[in-house]
Amino acid sequence: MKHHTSFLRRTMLLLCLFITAVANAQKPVTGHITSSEDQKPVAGATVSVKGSTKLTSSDQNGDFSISADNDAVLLVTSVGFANREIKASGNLNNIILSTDARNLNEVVVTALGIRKETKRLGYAVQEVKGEDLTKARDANPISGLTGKVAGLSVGPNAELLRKPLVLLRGNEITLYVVDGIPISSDTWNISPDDIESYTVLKGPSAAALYGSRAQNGAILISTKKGSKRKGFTVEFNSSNVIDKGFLAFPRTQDLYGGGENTYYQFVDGKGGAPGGVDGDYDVWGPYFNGQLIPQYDSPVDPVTGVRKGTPYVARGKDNLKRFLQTGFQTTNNLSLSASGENYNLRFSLSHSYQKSYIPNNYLNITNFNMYGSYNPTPRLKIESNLNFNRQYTPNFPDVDYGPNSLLYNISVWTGADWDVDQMKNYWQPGKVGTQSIFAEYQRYHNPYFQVNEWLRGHYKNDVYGYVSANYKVNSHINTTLRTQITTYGLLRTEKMPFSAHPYGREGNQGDYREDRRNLFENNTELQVNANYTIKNFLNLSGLVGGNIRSFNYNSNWTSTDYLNVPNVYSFSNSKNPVQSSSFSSDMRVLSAYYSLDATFGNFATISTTGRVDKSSAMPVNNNSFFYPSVSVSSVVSDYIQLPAIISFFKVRGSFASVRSVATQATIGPAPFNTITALNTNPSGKSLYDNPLGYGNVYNSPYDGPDYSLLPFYSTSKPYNSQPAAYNTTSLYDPNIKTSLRVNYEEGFDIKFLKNRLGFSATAFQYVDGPSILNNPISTATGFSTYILNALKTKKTGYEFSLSGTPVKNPGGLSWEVLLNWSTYKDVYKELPPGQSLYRTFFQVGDRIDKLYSSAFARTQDGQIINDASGKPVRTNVSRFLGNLNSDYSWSVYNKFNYKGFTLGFQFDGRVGGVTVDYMHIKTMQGGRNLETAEGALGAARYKDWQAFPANNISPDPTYKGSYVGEGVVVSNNTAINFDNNGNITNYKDLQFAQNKQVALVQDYVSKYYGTDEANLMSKTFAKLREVTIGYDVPAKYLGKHISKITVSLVGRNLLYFYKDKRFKDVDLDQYPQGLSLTSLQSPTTRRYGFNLNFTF
Amino acid sequence: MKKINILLTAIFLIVVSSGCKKSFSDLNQNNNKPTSVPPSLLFTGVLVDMHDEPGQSSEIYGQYYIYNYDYYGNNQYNFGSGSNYYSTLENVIKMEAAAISTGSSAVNSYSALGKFFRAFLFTKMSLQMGDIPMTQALQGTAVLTPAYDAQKAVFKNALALLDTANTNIGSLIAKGANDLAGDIYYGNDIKKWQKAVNTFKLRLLIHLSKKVTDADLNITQQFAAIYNDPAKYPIFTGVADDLQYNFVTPTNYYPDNPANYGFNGGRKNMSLTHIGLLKQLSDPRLFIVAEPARYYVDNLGQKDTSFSSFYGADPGSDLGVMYADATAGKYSFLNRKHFYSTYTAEPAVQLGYIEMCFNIAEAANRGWITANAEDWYLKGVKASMAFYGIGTTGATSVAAYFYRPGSTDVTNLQNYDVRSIPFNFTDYYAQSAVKYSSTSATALTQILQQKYLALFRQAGLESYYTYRRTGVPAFTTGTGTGNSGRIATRFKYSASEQSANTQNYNAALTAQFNGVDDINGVMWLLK
Repeated sequence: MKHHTSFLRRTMLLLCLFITAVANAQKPVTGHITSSEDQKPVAGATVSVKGSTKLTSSDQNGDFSISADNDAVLLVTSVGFANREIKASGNLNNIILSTDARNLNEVVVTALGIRKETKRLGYAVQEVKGEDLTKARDANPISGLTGKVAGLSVGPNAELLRKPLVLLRGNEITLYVVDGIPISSDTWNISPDDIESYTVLKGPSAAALYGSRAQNGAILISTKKGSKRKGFTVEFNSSNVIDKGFLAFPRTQDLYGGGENTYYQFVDGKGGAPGGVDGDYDVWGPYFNGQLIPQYDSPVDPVTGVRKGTPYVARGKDNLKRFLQTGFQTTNNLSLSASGENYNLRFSLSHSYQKSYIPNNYLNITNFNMYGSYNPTPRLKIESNLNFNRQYTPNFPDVDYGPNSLLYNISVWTGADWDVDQMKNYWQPGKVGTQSIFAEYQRYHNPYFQVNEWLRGHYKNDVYGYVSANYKVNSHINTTLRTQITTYGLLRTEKMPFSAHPYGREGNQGDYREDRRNLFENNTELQVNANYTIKNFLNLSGLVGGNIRSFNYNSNWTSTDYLNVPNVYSFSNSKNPVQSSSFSSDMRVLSAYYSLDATFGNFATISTTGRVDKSSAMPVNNNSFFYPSVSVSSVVSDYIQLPAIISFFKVRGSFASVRSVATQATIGPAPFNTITALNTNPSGKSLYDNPLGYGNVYNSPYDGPDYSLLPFYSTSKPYNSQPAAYNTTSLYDPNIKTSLRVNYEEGFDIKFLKNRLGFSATAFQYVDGPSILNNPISTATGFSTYILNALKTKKTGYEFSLSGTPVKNPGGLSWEVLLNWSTYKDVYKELPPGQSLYRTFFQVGDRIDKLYSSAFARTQDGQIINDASGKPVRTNVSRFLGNLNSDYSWSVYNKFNYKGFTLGFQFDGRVGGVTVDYMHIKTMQGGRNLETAEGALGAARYKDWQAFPANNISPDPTYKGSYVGEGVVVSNNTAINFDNNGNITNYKDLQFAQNKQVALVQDYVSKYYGTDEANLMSKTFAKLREVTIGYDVPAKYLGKHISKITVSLVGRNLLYFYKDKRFKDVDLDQYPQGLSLTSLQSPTTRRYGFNLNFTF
Repeated sequence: MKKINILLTAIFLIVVSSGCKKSFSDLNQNNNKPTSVPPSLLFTGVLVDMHDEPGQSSEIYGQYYIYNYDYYGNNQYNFGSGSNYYSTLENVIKMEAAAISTGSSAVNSYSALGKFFRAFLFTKMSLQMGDIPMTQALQGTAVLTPAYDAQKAVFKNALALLDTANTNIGSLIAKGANDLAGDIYYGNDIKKWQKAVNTFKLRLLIHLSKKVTDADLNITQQFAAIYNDPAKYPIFTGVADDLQYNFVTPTNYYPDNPANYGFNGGRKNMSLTHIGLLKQLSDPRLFIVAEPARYYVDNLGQKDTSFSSFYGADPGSDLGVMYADATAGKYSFLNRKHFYSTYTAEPAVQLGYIEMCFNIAEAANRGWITANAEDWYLKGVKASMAFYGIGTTGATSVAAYFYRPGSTDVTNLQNYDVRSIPFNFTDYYAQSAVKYSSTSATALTQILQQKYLALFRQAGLESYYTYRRTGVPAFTTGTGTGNSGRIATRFKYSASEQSANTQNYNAALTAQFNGVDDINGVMWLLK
């Protein structure tokens, strides 16, 4: 009953407003919609003016506003309710909708921002409400979609400022469309608080209207457009979470320190020690036994210059945990919306601050969004939206494998022999700014020095917006002219201090780099929409339109070649000549398109679309191409009497073909770069050339030409700064055409028990190809690849969604469940002409995600074959190890409501598939992994240490190790012969005996785990993705100015379930794709906090 | 309404005027890269591509300087694909075309050297793999699946190409016509290139020593023709003529240098095959190229100038044990002073006078030419000694520098123990193991041993080929060399052949190696 007080008050207010409004005709009318079942407001109901295209939807309070003549009739529709018609002049204060299982007139946003009834759609779309992502929010606005849509896999990135990998049916989605208009997005330039809903357009047929950019689907975003009721509303949302508690963490041993062959001593930290054990070492050093060993901080006798030994102990136990801090994220949004008789306004300001759990690393994002609409006359509506987004940080982490990476330094290649707490004062006395302190000076870095002195800045200004004018010619036809921009300016900086020495920059003399990129894109389009109903049976609605897309991009990347004066980060301080690379590109796409939906009574809707593009990214002789689509839907339950248990049944099917051009969705720092002075050998042929030999290559949004269909010479200075040129290594088919994807999709939606239970099933088949193929050819042609139209693959998949309301008790407990399940596989259907094999291993019918990699030679019964020294023999060619893609993905979302309390939680995961754990390879080979100090390996490792003469424990010059590896040896002194595919061909000649040969642990592990097969991990995992506990503060406590307060406790990524603990150093969540090798990954954390929402 | 019409018209005008100035064909071009270049730039590219550097797997396969830690590599003869120079050859074609299109006459310096590059690069690939596509190669889309030429045909073609190159260069020299630019080896001196062409031909003929009876090839006659007619076929007359890659700072460092000493100084050590031979011959080059194994000097008190303090690891030994022994100082490493104390150590000779001397000595020994084999043998030995700064007349001394363990700066000469080791070349040559033997077979072994020592860190895989052809010096095998105790005899074909040129690939394998791309298969040249 608490609800009723606020409800009544609001109704009274609306009533007063309404009375004043009635005085004028042709004015916005407002209303309030409730459900007959529980008398609660109905949100998202569609209200349209009959005979016009005007429509709106009710807000979360059930309120709406629409402009209509006094004698107009409003049609109110909502999912699960019977349609209701009501005169605009009637009493709209409480439009009660009766629940009706038979009618499902849900509306979703489809391509070009067109709202359509789902029952008329011949293909699958799934919509997610913006508010579902703003509570237990992920740091990234798109990562929150994980598990929300069947067929959509989102791989949230563990690293600050990196974008998630968004895969739909296994292909990466790169097109984000805001209010009908494509934007350039790195996923960070979207403010979740401004989003009304996300719609995932799944198949190409859904996306056929966007052309090639939507080949893999698109994510459509509808922004909030202001309050539906008169006056103004202020909303404040604050979300505050901490990152604490690790899900996946490097599994390291703290029993042995850095060094080689169980031996270590510090001389200069640069390989000066005998055997070079103090520079660029592994973690195969001595056992921590308190013995006296000269170390980096051991005292040096001032007279003799001899470094004394100090106790060798595990003072660096848990270095990484002690180094990391608690992360924190706060996101605050304040929005103001106002509406009047002929305008709607919304202003929204958001700020997000993320403090990484890595010290001195953080990210700020400020977002400003405004929307305004104005109706100068009832026929004309002018709308404009502008979004400004700035991402800024003076320092964000770089984790990619190499000396630039904290994990590389702390968890892979150095041991527990140094203490992170002693590294906080990181300059050597008298050498401030030029020489840091660490346990090693050749390859590794002091982590505090890294985070406080080696700074990577990121500053990106991102603007997108549009102006549009919609003019109603008559009740059937309206036309829209719209122009849009999306643009960004980016500056990335790197300040590398003296005594930092990543790959290729071993001079220890610092560097400064700038990476500047500018993108500008304009889409201008004209659309004519029409809607006719003929004899109350045939409804025709559709549009024709045209679009001009103009694109321009330019960038430059500049670096010093060492610095003269430390700490002065300026190009004028470069010691050697400054190195620079620049790039620019332009593109134009002209498009014309149409869409026509024909609805035959309540029997069926047939939709067709067509689009013609002319793109400058393709050669002039083949730069125009056509994308058709057709789809059918029929709500069987509308015209056939089905058993009472079935309340709704729809079948659908669609066909589309989409083409793709020579563009890339992203671009790197220095396209076609040929700088060799920084000790790299860039290809000079790609958009993604990295001018540096280390670190992460940041790819920003692009969607411009990649110039991959044209030959050119690459030039560089390979010798003595003398220029040289190299011909292209590709052959080009002069008649190259666009890539083709043909898509079929079939499905049905069925609801039972008055819509309490719903099930949606979709099957799809994509035939990709002939694609633009970079086909490896015989290098004897003089070229390594031939770029032609060839190769077909066929992808088949299934997606299921089950939604239900097991408990629905008005005023009491209710329980809703949503379950998504999806699977697909992709096989070769047709190989390039004349080939029976593709990429060495693949034949027609093979899955394209088969992993071939380094493997052990095995006996016929599967035992590893060792050589005479007890080390495994590898096959001489890669072997099939498994399929990379998961068998299927699943998610379950539950939501409970009870008297103002809500509890929501989601589990999701993937099953099947394999990958190779890179962290495991490196930590095993490097001796840092826990497994190297446990069990049989650990016992043998201890003996190796005792016996090594220089350690003086129990020296044994004849010692050859004690570890005996699994498997067999060839016992009859016969050579093993392999065929071209790595199969052993002479098993009949070989005799095997159990391996008894001892081996030294370091060498054995390096060989065994240097084989990918030994690091192969299953990709099956599950996560407790999110938990939200919400409470709506009862209205009686709110006072008269506050209309709503919701408080939520939220948690995200709370539990990670993985079976094999050996591989719990990687969080598989990040890798939804078929990935043959993982990367270094920062430890992933739990995230929890609270969310506050006020509405005034 | 009027206002609105004005508004709409204005919006329309703004949109339309926002311009489409460039045509679709302009927009389609990549203005960031050139589509034509002068021949000199392609020439430089080819010259860079063709060179071999020390520190590569060639010196593992030659059993000179070998890995001790499996993480960075091993000494196994599990060969992968051979070198691929087809794209370099395509650059040769583009270079020739660019020369013509920039106004050169049909026979010009680039076209003449183009023939040399073809001979050089095709035989380089064939030596590694066997039969390879040659006559049908380099035709782009015209022949996407080139058939393989028999190795014999490749060599026959190459020898003919070299002959034409020599003739062409000769005519250019006579005319004084030379438009070379961008030469990183000879400073655009076409006369030196002519010597290289003929010297290289001598090398190829030596590679064919097992085919001496093949009348079709005329090996002995071809060798003699060059040797006997230096006016028509000039060859190298000293190391100044060498085709060598000079290292320069700061752009092209020697692969071992002060900057990477801390990384690489201990990851490889000297091999028994190499050190053992130097010790066996009491050869002073040992003190220049290697250092004593510190364990024997520092722990056992042996003299660092004693041959017995130098140890190479058996490439066949278990790598784990080798690595532990290396850490304990039981093996010799590369001489720090010679190879690590500067950024330019020594040039990487691709084709040298010293090798030529031994090749001529071998030809004389085999009776292909009428020449004094010992003479050429001695020339080679002395030139090699001179290369390392060792005097070859009278009593002299070898200045040896041994890096003091625990030192922290490899560039600082203070950190080296300097030893002056007396040496007299006459005494050295008087040793029966060195003195040119009167027994022809022994003498041939001596030639090949000296050639092996002289080619340390030089000439790519030449020493591996010599072993493969002659068994000199004896290579060792074991678990460390993998491949079930066999020294592999060839490299595999490029990976794309199997799937993109399947029919020809399989035909070549059937013709040569029982249908398997077998690293232990024996190619025509070795039969």
